[in-house]
Amino acid sequence: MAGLLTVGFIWYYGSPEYTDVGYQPVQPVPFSHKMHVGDLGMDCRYCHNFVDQSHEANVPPTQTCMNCHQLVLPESEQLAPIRQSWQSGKPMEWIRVHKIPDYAYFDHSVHLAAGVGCASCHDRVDQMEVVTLKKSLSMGWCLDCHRDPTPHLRDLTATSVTDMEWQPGENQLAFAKEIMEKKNINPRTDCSACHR
Amino acid sequence: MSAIKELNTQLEPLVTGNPTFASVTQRISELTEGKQPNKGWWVCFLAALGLLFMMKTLILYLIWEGTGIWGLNNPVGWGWAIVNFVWWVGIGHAGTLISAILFLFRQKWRTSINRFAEAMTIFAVMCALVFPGIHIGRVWVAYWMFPLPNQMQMWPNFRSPLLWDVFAVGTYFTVSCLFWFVGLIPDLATLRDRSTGKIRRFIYGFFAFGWRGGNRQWQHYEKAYLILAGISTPLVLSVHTVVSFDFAVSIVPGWHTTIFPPYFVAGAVFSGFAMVMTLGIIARKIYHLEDFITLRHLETMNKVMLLTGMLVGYAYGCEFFVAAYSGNIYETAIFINRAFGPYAWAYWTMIFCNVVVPQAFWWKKARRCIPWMFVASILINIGMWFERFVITVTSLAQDYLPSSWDYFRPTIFDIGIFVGSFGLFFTFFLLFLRFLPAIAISEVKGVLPQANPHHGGEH
Amino acid sequence: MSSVNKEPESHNPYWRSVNELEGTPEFQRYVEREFPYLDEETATGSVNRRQFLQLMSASMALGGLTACRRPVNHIVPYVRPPEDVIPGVPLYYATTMPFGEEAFGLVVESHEGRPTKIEGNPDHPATLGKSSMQVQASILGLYDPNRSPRTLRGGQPAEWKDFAEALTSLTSGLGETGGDGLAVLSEATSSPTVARLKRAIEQKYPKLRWVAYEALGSENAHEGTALATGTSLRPLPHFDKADTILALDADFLMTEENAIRNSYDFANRRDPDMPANKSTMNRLYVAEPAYTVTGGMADHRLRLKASRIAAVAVAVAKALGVNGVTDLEAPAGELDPVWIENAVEDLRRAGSHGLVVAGRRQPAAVHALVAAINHRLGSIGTAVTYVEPLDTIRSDMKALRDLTADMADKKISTLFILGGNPVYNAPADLDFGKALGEVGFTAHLSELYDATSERCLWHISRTNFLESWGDARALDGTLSLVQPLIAPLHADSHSDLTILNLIATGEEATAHDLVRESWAERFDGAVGFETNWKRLLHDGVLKNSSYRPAQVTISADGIRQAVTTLDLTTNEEAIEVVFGPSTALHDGRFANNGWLQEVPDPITKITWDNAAIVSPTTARKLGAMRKLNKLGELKFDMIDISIGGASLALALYIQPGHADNCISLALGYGRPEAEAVLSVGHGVGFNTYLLRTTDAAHIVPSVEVRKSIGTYELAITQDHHSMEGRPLVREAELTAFKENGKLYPEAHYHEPHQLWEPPVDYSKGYQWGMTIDLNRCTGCSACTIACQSENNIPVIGKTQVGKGREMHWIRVDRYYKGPIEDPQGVVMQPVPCQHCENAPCEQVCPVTATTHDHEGLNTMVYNRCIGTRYCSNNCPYKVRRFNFFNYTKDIPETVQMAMNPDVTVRFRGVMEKCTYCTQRINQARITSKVDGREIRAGDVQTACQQACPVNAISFGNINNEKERVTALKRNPRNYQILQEINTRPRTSYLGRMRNSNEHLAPDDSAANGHEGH
Repeated sequence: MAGLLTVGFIWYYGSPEYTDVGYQPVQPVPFSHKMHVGDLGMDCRYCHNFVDQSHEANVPPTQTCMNCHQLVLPESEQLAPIRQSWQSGKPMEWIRVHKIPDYAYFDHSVHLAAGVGCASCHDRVDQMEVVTLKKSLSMGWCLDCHRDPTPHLRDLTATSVTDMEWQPGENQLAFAKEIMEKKNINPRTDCSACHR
Repeated sequence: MSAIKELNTQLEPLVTGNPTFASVTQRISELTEGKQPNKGWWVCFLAALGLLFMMKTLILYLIWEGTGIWGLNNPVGWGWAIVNFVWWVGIGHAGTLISAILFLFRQKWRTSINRFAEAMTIFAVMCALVFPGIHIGRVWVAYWMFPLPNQMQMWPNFRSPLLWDVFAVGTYFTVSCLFWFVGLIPDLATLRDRSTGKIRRFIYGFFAFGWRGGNRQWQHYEKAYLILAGISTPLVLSVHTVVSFDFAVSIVPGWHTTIFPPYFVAGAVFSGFAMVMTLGIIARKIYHLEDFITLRHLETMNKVMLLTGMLVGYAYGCEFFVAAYSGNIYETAIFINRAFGPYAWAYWTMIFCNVVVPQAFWWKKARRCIPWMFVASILINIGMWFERFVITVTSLAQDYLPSSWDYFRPTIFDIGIFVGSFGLFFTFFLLFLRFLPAIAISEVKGVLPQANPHHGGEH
Repeated sequence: MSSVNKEPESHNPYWRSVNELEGTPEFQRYVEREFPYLDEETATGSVNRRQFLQLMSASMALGGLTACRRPVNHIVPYVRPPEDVIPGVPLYYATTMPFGEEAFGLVVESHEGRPTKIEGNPDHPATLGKSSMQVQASILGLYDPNRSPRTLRGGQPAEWKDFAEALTSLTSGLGETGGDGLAVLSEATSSPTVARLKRAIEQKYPKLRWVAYEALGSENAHEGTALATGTSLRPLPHFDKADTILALDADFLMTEENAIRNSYDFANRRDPDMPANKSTMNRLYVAEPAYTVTGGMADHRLRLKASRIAAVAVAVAKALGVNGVTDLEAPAGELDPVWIENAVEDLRRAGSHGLVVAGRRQPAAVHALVAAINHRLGSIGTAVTYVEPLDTIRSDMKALRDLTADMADKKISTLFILGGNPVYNAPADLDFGKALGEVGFTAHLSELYDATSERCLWHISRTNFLESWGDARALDGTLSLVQPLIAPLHADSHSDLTILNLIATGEEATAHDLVRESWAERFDGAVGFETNWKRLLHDGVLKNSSYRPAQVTISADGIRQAVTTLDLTTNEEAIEVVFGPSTALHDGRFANNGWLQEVPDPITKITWDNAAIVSPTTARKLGAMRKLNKLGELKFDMIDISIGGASLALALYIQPGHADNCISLALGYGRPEAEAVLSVGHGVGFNTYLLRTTDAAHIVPSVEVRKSIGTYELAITQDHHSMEGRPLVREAELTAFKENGKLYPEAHYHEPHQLWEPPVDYSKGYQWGMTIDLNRCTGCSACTIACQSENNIPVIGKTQVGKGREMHWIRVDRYYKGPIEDPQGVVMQPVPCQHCENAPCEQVCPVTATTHDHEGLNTMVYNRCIGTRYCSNNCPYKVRRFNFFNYTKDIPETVQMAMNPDVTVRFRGVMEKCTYCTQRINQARITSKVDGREIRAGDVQTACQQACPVNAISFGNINNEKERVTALKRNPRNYQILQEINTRPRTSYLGRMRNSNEHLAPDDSAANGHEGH
C-alpha cells in the first residue's frame, strides 16, 4: 500500500502533470502586457531591450517606465510604486514567472538569432492581462524543440521574433530545413548544451 | 531413486531419538507456543532491537550529514558499506542453495536445516539491501535508478552494473520470500490447528491459505515447490555473479577479472554455510534440537565448507598467477601490494580464515567436533568479510597513478552501521524463531523411517 | 570607468517553513491567487484527488521544498541603469595589483559590477596575460569576510573624521619642529603617486623618517650591485636571451621577484621544437638547499647548504677569472668540482648568453659576485640588464631596526603604519610590538584588524586594490594604473593615498583626484589629458615607459672587499636553518586566503601548514625516518629548533633531494591573530618569524635541534613519491630523442581491435582537446587556483584534505626520480580530467549523470548525479572529486560574490570534475552563433590555460588546423597517459626533455625512469 503511494507520488512528480503551468502571481504593479503590447503595439524590445545581446531578457529599470509615465498617467494610483521607486531609488521587486532551475543555462540571444520567437515559449503575452506561465518549461519540453525545432523557426527577413501573431506557413518544413542548413542551426541535446 | 534410498538407510539416520510423527510436530511446534519466550530470548531480542535502533539513528545522521561521516576518500570511493553489502548478500546464499539446489538433487539431509537457512537468507538479503541504499550521496533521488517516466525524459543507464545489481538482488529477494513462504504453508496450518488463542488461530489461519493437507493440495504444493526451486536455482548463481560484475566490469586493477563470478558464488556459498552453521549450532543448543540437527547434518555442511573453502583458496592463487602471467604492471603491482603492501594485515587475515582454517575438516574428528566447527564457522565469516574488504578497498587504494594512492581509515560510523546491521538481522531472526517453526515439520516427517513405505519391512 | 553598482540583479528572499506558511490564512489566499482556477473548487469544497495534489504541490512549492521555481522568486532590476552594463553580460577592466616593488597588470572580469575573475593583462610586461596563484587568489582577498569594516580608536569604533582632525592637529603641531619624531612605516612600493606625496611630506617635514619594510625584501640584491658597481641597481634577468643559466639558491620561477615573466621567458627558451636558427633549448644549473620548482626544472642540480652557495659563487667567479677574485685562494670544503667545472665551461661557451642569478636570501656579496660574473661573461645588456628604479620605496631591514630602536627610546612621537604587519613579521629580536607601545600616536592602515592594528591607537580600514585608485611601476619601470572595479565594500575604508595626502596637505582628497594629479604633468602633451587618461584606463599600462638600462662598470676592489665579508669556512656537520617565503602565502599576507592555504606546496604537497623540511639523512640523524612513503600518514614527528634565546617546536617533514644538515622553514604561517579577525588563517602552521633575527634574517649557519616529544598532523595530498616505473611522466635526453624519438619509461601500446564502429564520429564539428607540455610545466600551481576561481571549487579545510578529499579539478602530481636518498630529479604533471573518448566513468554511472557529448567532452551533470561514486572508482586518473559534505553551506555572503555565475555551485552528495571550462566553450559558441560564424582558433581558453605562465597548456578544437593544440597533438613528444588501457584521452602530454651536459649526464637507470623508494 505504502509502496503504491510512494510510486504514485514519484510518478506524479516525475510526470509533466507536475509543472507550474498556470502560475499567475500578483505583481506589485498590475502591468498589463495586453494593453502595452496588444493594444498599443509596443515591441517587446522597448522594455526588454538587451534580450538579443544577453542570456537574460532584462526586466526594464524603473527609468524605462518613467520615460512614458512622467507624462502618461502621472497621477495614477496603480503606478504609485513605480514613482516611489523612482524617487527613493529603491528598485521594484517584480515576481518571476518564467523560471528555470539555476543549474540549467538558457540563453535568449542565441535563440532569437536562430529565429525562435518570443511567443514560442512565452505564448501570447500580448493577450495576457496578467502574465501567466503557459508552457511547462520542463527539461522534456526543452528537448522536444531541440530535437525538432522546425515548427518554431521564423524567417527573420519576413517577420520579427517579437511578432506575436506569427504562424508557421504551409511551406514551413521546407523553409526550416533550408534555414537550418544556412544558419547552421543544430540544437544540441548533449547535457553540456544547458548544464555547466 | 532406490540407490539413494539404499544410501540413506545405510547412512546413519537423519533424525535420531526415534521420534513419531506426533512427537516431531510436538517438539517443533511447542517452540512457538506455551511458556515461550523465555528470559534468554528476551535478552537477545532486546539486545538486537537496541542495535537495530542504533543503526537507524546512525543512518538518519548519515542522510542528514552526508557520506563524509564515513572514512571514504578520493581513491577509495567504496568502503564498508559496499563490503557489508556483498558480505550479507553472500550469506544470503546458503538458504536458497540448500532449499532449492539440494532439493532438486534430492538431498534429504537438507530438511532439518532448510527452513531457518531460508529465513536467514531473507534477513541477510534485507541487511544487504540497506547498504547500497544508504551509501549514495543523495538518497532522496535514489528512485532515478528505476525506469520511471519523468519530465526530464531521462532513463537509467542500462550499461551500468549497479543497475543490474538493483534488479538481480531485488529478484532474488522476492523469489526467496515466495519460496520460503510456500514451504511454510503446511506448517502454518499445523500451528493453526494446534493454536488455542483466537488471534493466533486467525493469523496462522490467514497465512495458511486454508491448508487442509488434502491430496490435491499436496500435489499442487509439491509442484509449486518444485517449480519455485527450479526458478531459484539459477538465481543462486546469478545474484552473486551480477554482484561480482560491479567489480569485474570496471577497469580497476584487482577488480577487472573474469574469474570473479564463479569465485564470488563459491565464496557466497562458503560464507552462507558458515553462517548457517553458526546459527544452527546455537539454535540446536538452546532448543535441544539435537535429534533433528544431527552430527550428520553438521558434518555434511563441514564437507561443503571444506570444498567451497578450497575453491575460494584456488581463486586467490589463480588471481596471483594471472597477475604474474599477464605481465601487466598495474595488475602485478596491485597483487604484490595486497600481500606485502599497507593492507597485508587484511590479506593474511583473509587467507588464514578462509584457506587455512577449513583444512581441519579433512579430519573426521574436526568435522564432528561441535565447539571447533562453531569457532571455525565464525572465523570463516570474518575471513569472508575481509575478502570483500581486500577486494574493494585495497584495489581502490593503490590503482594506476601512484600520486593518488591513499589509505582508508574507518570511522565509528562505518563500524556502527555494520554492527547495527546485525541488530536488524537478529531482530528478525529471533522473531522468526519465536513465531514460526524453525524446522520444516512436514518435510522432517518425510524423512522419518516411518515415512518409508517399506517401514517395518513386512512386505 | 569603474561601473559601481552593488545592487544584486536578482535575489532569493529567505522563505518561511512550510508549516508556518500552511498555518496562516494569507497562505490560503496565496494558493488561491497562485492557482486561480482552483478558487471555486476550494470554495465549494469539492476538491478531487488531482486538485488536492496540486494544492499540496503548491504548498510545497511555496514552502520551497523541491527543485524548480518553488520559493517566490523576485526580479530586482536597476532603478537607473548604469551606462554600458548589459545585465548578464560581463565587462572587463584593466587594473594593476601592487605587490611590494612589483606590479602585476591585470584584466578583471566583472558581473553587474561584481568582480569575479582575475587574469593577466597581455600588454603588461610583468604578466603578459598570464598570472600566478597569488594573483588569481587575490580576488578572494577583496571579499574576505574578516576585512575590517571601520575606523577604530583603541579598539573601539570611531569616526574617520575624528581621525582626520586628530591627524591634522597633530601634524600642524609637528610643523615647527620640521616633523621631528614623525615617522611613516610603509610596505615597499613603486607607486609614482605615493612617491609624489612622499616628496610633498618631506618638503613639509624635512625631519620625517620614512621606512619601508618587507619581510622578503630585495635589499641584498641592491646592496650587492652597490658593492660591485658603486650604485644600487636592480638586476633584471632576461631568460629569453639566456642559453645557459646558473641559479644560485634562486627560485626565479616561483618565489623570487618577477616570477611570472621569468617563467614565461624561460619556458619559451626551453622549447625543444624551437627552430635551430633561434638557437637551442637552454640548459639550467641550479645549486640550492631545498627543492624548488626551479630545482625541478634543472638539468643539473647541486643540493647544497645555503651557507655554501657563496663558496660556489666564488669558485665560479675564480674559474671565470673575475677580477678581484682570481688572486684569492679557493674556498674550503667539499664542493663537487666536476659539477662546477662543467657549469663554468657551459657558461663560458654561452658567453653573452650565459646568465647567473642569485636568490634574495643570499648575502649582498654573492649578488656582487653575480654581477661581476655576468659582466665577465659579457651578458650584461643581453641576458641581464641592471636598472635604476624610480618612484620606488624599497624595503630596508636595517632602517627598520634603527627606527624600532628610536621608537623604543621614545624618539618617535607619531607613527603612521601604511599596510604591512610588522608586529607579526618584523625580526623577533626587534620586538617591534613592544617598541610600538612607546610611541604616542600610532595609526595602522590595513585591510584586516591584525596584530599590528591591535597595538596601534588608530586602525583605519584599508581599501583593497580592486576598490581604490592608484598607480604603480613594474620592475622594468613600465607604468600602469590601479583602477577600482567596485566601490569599497565598507564605506569607511580609505586608501594610502588619502592618508598620505592628509599628512602632506591636511586636506582630504579622493585617491582618484590624487592619481590624476600626479599624472597631470606626465600627460601635458598635445593630445590633452583626458584623451591620454581614457587610453590609459583602457590599456591599463603606459606603453614604452620602462627604464633605460644603466651602464655597469665593475670595481675589482669592490668585489675583493665583498668577498672578504663572506664566511667561506665550512662546518659540514653543523645544522643550518634557512628561511624562505611560503610558496602560497608569500610572507603571510595571504594567510586568510582559503584557496592559497589549501593549494599544496608544489614540492612537499603540504597544505594548510608549514613544516621543518629536511633530507632523509638529516631526518635519520634527528631520529625520525619512518614517515617516508607511508600511505595516509597523518602523524609527523616534531623537532625543537633553538636560535639564540628563541626556540620553536614544529613538525618535521622529510623531503628527498634536500641538502643534508639543513632545515628550511617557510615564513608566513602561524599568524597570531584571533579567530574572530582571521577566521581562515588563524592557528595555521608555525610562526617561524619567532626564530628570525636582523643579523641572520635569511640563513642561520648553526642552530640547536633536537627531536621533541609528540606528533603533529600534516594534511598532505600526495603520499607516494615514486612513479613505480610506470610511463606517466615520460622524458628523454634532447640529443637522444632527436635520434631515436624514444620517451622513457617506454609504454607498450597495441591498437586494440574494435568489435563495433565508434558511436560518435569525432572527425566532424568542434572537437575539443588539450595538450600539457611537461617540458614547460614548472608545477607552480597557478592553474589549480585559476580553475578554483573559475569553477567555484569549494575550500574544504585541513581535516578534509587530511582525509584525502581535496577538491581541486586540476592537481599537480610530483614524482621523484632515482633513489629517494638522493633523487636525480623531480618531475611535475598537472592532471585534470582527461576527457577520455572511451571513458570508464560514463559506462558505470547508473543514472547517466556523466556522459559524452558530440564534441568529445566528458560531461558531468551535477543535478543528475545521485552520488554512487562508482565513476570515481573506475576513473584510472582519479580526477573526480566528490562532495562528501555540503562544502558550500557556510560560505559567507561576501565570498559568494566571488562566485562565477556561469558555473553551477555543487551540492552535497554529487561528483564533480574538470569540464574543460564548458561554460567558456558555450559562451564562445553562443557568441559565434549570434554573429553567424564558426568558433575561431583561440576563441576558447580554459582557465588553467589562460593562467599558465609558461604556456604549458594548449586547448582548442583539434579539428581546426589553426589551433596550436592541433599542431602539438602531432608533435613527436605527444603521448597519452595510460594509453594501454585504451581510454583514448582527449588530454595528452608532451614528453619532457632534458638537456644534460654529457659530462654530467645521469646514468641510464634514471633515463629509463627506474626508481627506488
